[in-house]
Amino acid sequence: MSENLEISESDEVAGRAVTGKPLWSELGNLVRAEWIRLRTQRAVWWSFFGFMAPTTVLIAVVAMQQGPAATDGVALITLSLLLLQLGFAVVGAVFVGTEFGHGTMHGTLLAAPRRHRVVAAKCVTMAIFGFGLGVFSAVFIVLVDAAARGQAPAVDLKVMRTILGMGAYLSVLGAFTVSVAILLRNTIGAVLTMIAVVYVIPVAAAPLLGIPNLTDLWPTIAGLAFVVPEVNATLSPVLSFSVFLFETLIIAMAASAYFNRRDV
Amino acid sequence: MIEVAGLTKSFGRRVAVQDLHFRADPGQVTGFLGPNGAGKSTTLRMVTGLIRPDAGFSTVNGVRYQELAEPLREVGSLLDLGAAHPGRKARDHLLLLAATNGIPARRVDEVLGLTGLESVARKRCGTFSLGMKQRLGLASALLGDPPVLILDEPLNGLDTAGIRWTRDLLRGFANEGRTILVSSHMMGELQHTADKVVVIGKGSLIADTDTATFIANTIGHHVRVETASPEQLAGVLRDAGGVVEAVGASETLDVKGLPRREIGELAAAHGITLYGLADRETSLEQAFLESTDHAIEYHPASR
Repeated sequence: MSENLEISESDEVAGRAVTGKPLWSELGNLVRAEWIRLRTQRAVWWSFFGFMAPTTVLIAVVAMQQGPAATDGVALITLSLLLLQLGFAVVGAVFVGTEFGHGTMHGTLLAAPRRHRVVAAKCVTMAIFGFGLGVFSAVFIVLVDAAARGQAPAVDLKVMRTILGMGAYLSVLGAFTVSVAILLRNTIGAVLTMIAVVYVIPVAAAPLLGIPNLTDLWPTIAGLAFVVPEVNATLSPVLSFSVFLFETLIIAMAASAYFNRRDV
Repeated sequence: MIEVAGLTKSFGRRVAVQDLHFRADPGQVTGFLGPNGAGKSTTLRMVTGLIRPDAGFSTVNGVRYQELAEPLREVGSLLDLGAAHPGRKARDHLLLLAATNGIPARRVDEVLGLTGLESVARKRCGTFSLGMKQRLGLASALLGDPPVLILDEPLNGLDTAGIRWTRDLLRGFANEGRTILVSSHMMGELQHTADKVVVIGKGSLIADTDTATFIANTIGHHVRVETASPEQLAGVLRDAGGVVEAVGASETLDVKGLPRREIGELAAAHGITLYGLADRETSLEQAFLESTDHAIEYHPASR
């Protein structure tokens, strides 16, 4: 029997795979680990609830001022999304940025040295978290709205679409933020960049520069069109959201390629 | 087995590691020594895939680290003291690492017990002392019960009991046939723990041999002689081919190149009274300092 074969047998007995690991199996483990990382990081929850609490109060106040007759669940979900998206972007930036800041990225890569898969797992985790959080928040806003008006929740197809749209938008925004944070490797830088991406450039800078049509292709504006078609005058909601997806994919690929080349 | 073949790395114009070759074998504790800035950490980071070498390669049990299917089950690494999020609880920190390699949660509890961290498992890492962080790092390294351990300064911050526990752990693992590569500045500990040493300075290999041979080759055999007539005895010993140095202003001589018995006989033949005659105890620390004297990057200011 050859020496090589003996080595393989011994490895099999010891239950140790020497090389290769199916992508899906490893990705599943990594997503599970990233979820543990996310749910056990206090800053993530403080950041989120720091945005969620005032948003809830604002929605309740608006609903009470409008009174029972003026029910518009879509408008309130949209208003909450416009406020919460920044909170969620901060969560994503903190989630990844602190890993670089505290040096825990070393431990991550010692446990999972195939870096493209690490980036994919982080993006997938934040995307799943974003979808769940978006849907939960939208439903919560509908309930707050109904409670503030003293009526039963009004849920029609348009509201359902807005609820799912909020989940889809935060889902992609999560992957986008993770990619930005990996590119910048810094929490503060990632937070400031996301503030610019979410608010400053589309709301202030682009119109001031006289390029309104360009903002239709801006990632967050393109993504929001899926929830609020009125924000995008140029493209249909589905096409607009596809643009957001495509841009996020490009950023994620750039982040992964850069991260894969860098020393940590 | 860990194999390093021609590893080279520069940061800008500074060469951190240059054409480094060595091997750490199973069943042995290999001490990895070098002054500050010698390139030890850079080397260990290249071995574990955190840093990409400019040239050369390294393997663990014949496989590059990046290709290991479940790295924590193959290699346990302690490279960063306290590399845990300060707001995360110790058990959660280990749980998330375990999840990456499909290691069950019961193993997390086992290593917490093994490293004496059971009682603080649910405390946040930011509240840990240096020694507790070190134990948590060791717990991370032991998660996958790996056949190879790579430890960078594992004794830093540990109390006496912790140092002894780590020493016994490393020896026990080596006796089980595992490969241990450990860098440390605690020469006294390594002298009694490491079977062989790899010494580097300014990124290049200085020595790669078993610990006893390294000490003997570097320092040689010295004899301490205490006598009533140091000047007369020094002359006699020099004539016999010995290298003699006075130790301070006392009556003690340090003799190299002559065995203890011959020194005694020469003294007796010349009627010189001896108060003491003994082989000088040599240490890994002395050998290390002598071998790396030319390679010290950061010299402290003399006072």
